[in-house]
Amino acid sequence: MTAQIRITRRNQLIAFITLCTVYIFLPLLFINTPYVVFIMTQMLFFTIFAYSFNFLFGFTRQLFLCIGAFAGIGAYITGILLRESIVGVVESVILSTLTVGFIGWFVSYLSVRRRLVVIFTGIFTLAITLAFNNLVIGLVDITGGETGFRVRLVSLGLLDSLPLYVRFYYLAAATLLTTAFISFYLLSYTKIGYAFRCIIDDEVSSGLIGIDVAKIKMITAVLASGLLGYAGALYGLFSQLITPSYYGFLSLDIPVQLIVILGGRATLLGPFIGSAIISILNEALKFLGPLTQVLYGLILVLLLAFFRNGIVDFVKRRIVPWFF
Amino acid sequence: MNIIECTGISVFFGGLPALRKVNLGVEKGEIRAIIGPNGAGKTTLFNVINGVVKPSEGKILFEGRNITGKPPHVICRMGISRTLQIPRVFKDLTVVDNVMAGALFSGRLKGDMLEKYVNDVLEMVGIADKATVKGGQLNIQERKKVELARALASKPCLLLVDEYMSGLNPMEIEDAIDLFKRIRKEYNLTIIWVEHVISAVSSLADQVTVLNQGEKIAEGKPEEIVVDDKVVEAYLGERVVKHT
Repeated sequence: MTAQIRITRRNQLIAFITLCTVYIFLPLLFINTPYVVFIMTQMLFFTIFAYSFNFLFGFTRQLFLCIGAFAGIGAYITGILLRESIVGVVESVILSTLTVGFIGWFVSYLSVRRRLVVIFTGIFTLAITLAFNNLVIGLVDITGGETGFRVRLVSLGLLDSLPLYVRFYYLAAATLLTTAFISFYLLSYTKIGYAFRCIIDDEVSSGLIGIDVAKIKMITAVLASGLLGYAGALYGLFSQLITPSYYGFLSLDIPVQLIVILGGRATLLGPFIGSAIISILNEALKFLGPLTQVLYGLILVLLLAFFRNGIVDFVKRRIVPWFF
Repeated sequence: MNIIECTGISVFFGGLPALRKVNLGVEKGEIRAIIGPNGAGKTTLFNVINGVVKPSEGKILFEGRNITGKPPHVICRMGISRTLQIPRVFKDLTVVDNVMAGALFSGRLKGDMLEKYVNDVLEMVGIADKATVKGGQLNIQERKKVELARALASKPCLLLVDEYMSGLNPMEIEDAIDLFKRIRKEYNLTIIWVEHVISAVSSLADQVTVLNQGEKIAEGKPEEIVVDDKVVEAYLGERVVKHT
């Protein structure tokens, strides 16, 4: 029994280190084709967003339909603070992280305390998305309205010697891999992993055996939202342009949902796999133009109807049982 | 001293009373059966004790401490475990993991004792042979056993058991009665136990509390209860012809 667990963990660790190695060396192959690195960086940011959504929805059943809005709030706070030269980059990003973390906690607190079920949390957070969009478009003087505003290129310290997109690639990769590694550690080596497995399975029983479900949901929401604020701010600095369309429901939430469901809810490799597939698909289908949105919708419907548990679950059941 | 003391418990669901001014005191080490027709409020009483439902009125003392309105996980950590009428095991977790979860989160066991304790509980309940099977693949009786094992693994002082015997055949009922006698002795437990199977109640319970339409109508030893007029009336209806 314990031997089996040891083998599982060893395999998982090997898979994880392989993944890290690939992510560290992959951009070096494309160092002369900035476009590829740009796409890969974008993929990393979406993987980070998907990680947040995965922890909210996959692990703790909190359907936050405001991933784009949360990332957007992070981006706008940092963007505006830098544009007005109020504080430096580091302070702005910290402020974005804390603000969005706080909003996430508040939303989770309401939904836990008022016992909103998954679907009501969904509606409630969708309203936040709508409010965010209207606010950003309405407050033209501050946000630049529909067209947004440009952000100056910021210095990333040691990374500045690298080509432009490669800098942000490594920044995003560091964020993502750190997040993934901490998650991996917590889930595999601590009681928290056990608690998550119980909560995913049955919330009522989890409470009965002494798990503080409300607390775990709220802590998860704070951390996942903080991550969204942080990654959103970086995404804004990377794009050097902050407009509502980058953080809209269609352009951010839908792909993130697609990534998580395709890859596998409540899994650690799911978001990596999902985002890789979606990125490649997105590039391959560029010629379709706006029709890709239709296609995304269609894929999402099909996934929900026939492949709800995602790729990781499939591999785990059919091929290698230690997959995670 | 009573291990648990409920005084004047009332619960209203949208104006309808599910429990009305119910008092319940159970002595340490006792097996107390709670019986009553469907809708009498038996499960609601459990829900109130372990914090799933907040009482509209009344107070619950557990080992002298007020636990009224505390959430289920806190009450579990204080030493009250519960099984449900329709068992809810973790379907994706193996049997041993289900039971381990119970031991892990109650915080009432030391780290190095966990594994041995869990194995003992599995043996005791008689589900050790299924240890590596996933919860979702078990039949309903096995699920009941796993849930009982999970509740025991949290090392409670007071165990609330909701209809363990329904659906068992007479042989299995005998086994179950024996099991409850053993676990009371082994784990030094107080058990409150909702049951419909009256034969089991007679041979296992020290005291019986009878609920009907949210009110306590009788309390006493099993042999007194079965001849109590009010109890007979609640179950069978009023007597038309009085015996002379």
